[in-house]
Amino acid sequence: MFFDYIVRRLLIGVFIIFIISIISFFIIQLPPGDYLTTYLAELSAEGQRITPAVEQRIDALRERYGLGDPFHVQYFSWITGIILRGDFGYSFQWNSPVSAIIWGRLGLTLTISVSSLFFSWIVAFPIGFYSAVKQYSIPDYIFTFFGFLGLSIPNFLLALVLLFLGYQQFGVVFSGLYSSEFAGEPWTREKFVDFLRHLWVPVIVLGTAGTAALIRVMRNNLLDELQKPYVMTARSKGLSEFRLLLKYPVRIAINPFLSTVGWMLPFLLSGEIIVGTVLSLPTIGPVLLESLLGQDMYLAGSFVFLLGVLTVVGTLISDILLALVDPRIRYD
Amino acid sequence: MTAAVKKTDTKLIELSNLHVNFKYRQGTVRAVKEANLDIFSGESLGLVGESGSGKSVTAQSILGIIPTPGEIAEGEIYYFPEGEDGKRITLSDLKSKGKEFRHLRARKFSIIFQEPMSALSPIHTIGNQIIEAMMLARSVNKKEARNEAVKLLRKVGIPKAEERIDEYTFNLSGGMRQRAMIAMALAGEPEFLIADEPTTAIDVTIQAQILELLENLQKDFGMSLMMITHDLGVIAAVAERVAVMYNGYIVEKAFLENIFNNPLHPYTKGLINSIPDIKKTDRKLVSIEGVVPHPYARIKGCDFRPRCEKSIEGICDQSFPSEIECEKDHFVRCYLYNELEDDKK
Repeated sequence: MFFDYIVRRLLIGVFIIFIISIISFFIIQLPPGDYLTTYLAELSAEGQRITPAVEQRIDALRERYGLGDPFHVQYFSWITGIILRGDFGYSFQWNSPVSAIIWGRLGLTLTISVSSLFFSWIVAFPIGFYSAVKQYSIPDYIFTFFGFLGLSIPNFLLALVLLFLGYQQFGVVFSGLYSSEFAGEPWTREKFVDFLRHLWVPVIVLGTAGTAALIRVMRNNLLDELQKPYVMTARSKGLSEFRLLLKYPVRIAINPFLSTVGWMLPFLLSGEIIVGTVLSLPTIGPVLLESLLGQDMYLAGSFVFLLGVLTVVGTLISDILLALVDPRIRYD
Repeated sequence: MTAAVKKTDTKLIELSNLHVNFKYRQGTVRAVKEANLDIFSGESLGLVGESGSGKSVTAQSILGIIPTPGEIAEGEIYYFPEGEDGKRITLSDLKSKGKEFRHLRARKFSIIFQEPMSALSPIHTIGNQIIEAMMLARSVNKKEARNEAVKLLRKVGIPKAEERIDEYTFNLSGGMRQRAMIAMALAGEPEFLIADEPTTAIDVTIQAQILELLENLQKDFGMSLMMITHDLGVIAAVAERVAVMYNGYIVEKAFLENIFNNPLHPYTKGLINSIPDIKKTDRKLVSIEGVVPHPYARIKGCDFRPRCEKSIEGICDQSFPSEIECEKDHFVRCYLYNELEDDKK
């Protein structure tokens, strides 16, 4: 039964990814013109003469990448390239294949997002638990206050404030993911340690709002569950209070917690785009923004597509976790 | 009705002037008021009353599982362990979540709830929950506990128990679920079992089976049974002695025959009167006029006065009547019987 459930989820996932690929390709095609018209406009804006030689090169490029072809032809060649050859197309801005640009950055983005997710879980779980079990206690009110504060401060503002305070108070620049001497270097132990030292800033900036939301989720769910008759049943058995709470209400209240993977991942990924730009991280954020501005369609499209895929995969993982924890979902 | 009424005089539980309050911001709900009640070894006591009369809270206070914000405001609950002559434990002084009380709940007391679907965890197998109770109550390892659990499930009438033990509640029928709940309550071979409306959520056709099962088990295990219900039919089938509750007060206590043949309190009379008689088809359903007072309401005098036809002005609106023993082992709290008390003197 569990196997059926997973297979069903997988099939749905594949279908959704297919839809996402069409939509992301459609969206990046929406603005009039293409990269080459933007490029020509830029050239003339800089006062350069458009010589016939330039125009010829442009036409050759347009021909080579099929930019004049109808939508479905362009989409088909793009998607088959991805599936068959892992070829995401070519970035005109960077003058290199998209796949050479995205993987490293996507990896870092994912590292930051997943770290933020774990950070949120680890912080929110005990606080939410405490706030529910000791409802209306003074710590509960304090946590609630800071929770709402965290929820309402925009990411980029938090990033700017941290940058400012770090520089003003400690003379430290919190931007980037590693110190400048490691840029472009291969990964060594020193670089990794340096990386961890930089990682916490974006993780906290990104994770704060999610943590605050999760505290509320955990608190409310657990409060609901604590009222349920099965808690009294467990008490009547003589089980100790802490073990009882963990075994029964918390196990059930944790369901929505696990499904946060599904909704928090896209939330973190899109937040990362802004935070990455503010903190000038070598992640997808700044690059995605630039590629969208410059109509670098294959680069932008690949990012949008891959972020969509990651979200679907995240949801799938949370579905499987849920089914593991809750038999009612397994038997559905 | 049970044939022989056995009169035991070994007290097991005693409630003495028990008050249980729930404090909310809007006010205090006095769920149980001035409750005096003895429960004897091996007897089955019926606690009857309408919803909100304080039956369940009375039971929960004995087990130390009153939900927050409820607490014992006044009075004592005593427990006299079987086979330990003269020993008396004051339950109301124990910490309800403390070790001593938890051990008593694991080994000596048990409770069956109304809705097995919500009273059992939806995400654990029934076996998991019964084995847990078993291991808290006795010093057995997991394998022994499982074997015992299978035996118990068979005893409460679950077919193919060795397979059913690994089922979740949502895969069982209502009757099977309640049987599993009963098996769990019996895991510690308790001295005192509370059944809190055990048949209310169950199909009428299964109700009789469950009641019969409970009666048989009570005799097999030699436990005291406290049957909480609003259904006089259930009381008649199971109880030897009856206590009637109204708005937090125990208004009448007597042996079953006396309650049915000679009800004294106007509320008890009203209850008996409202039992539909299948032979008299033309008769309308009789009910007690009026409604139960609002939980926050403070009534001057007797709480039943607003609904009572026989209330006496100048007497019933002064204070709640105290307990009078009208005949042997028949107690009532009503001013109508004060003369009887005076005559005795």
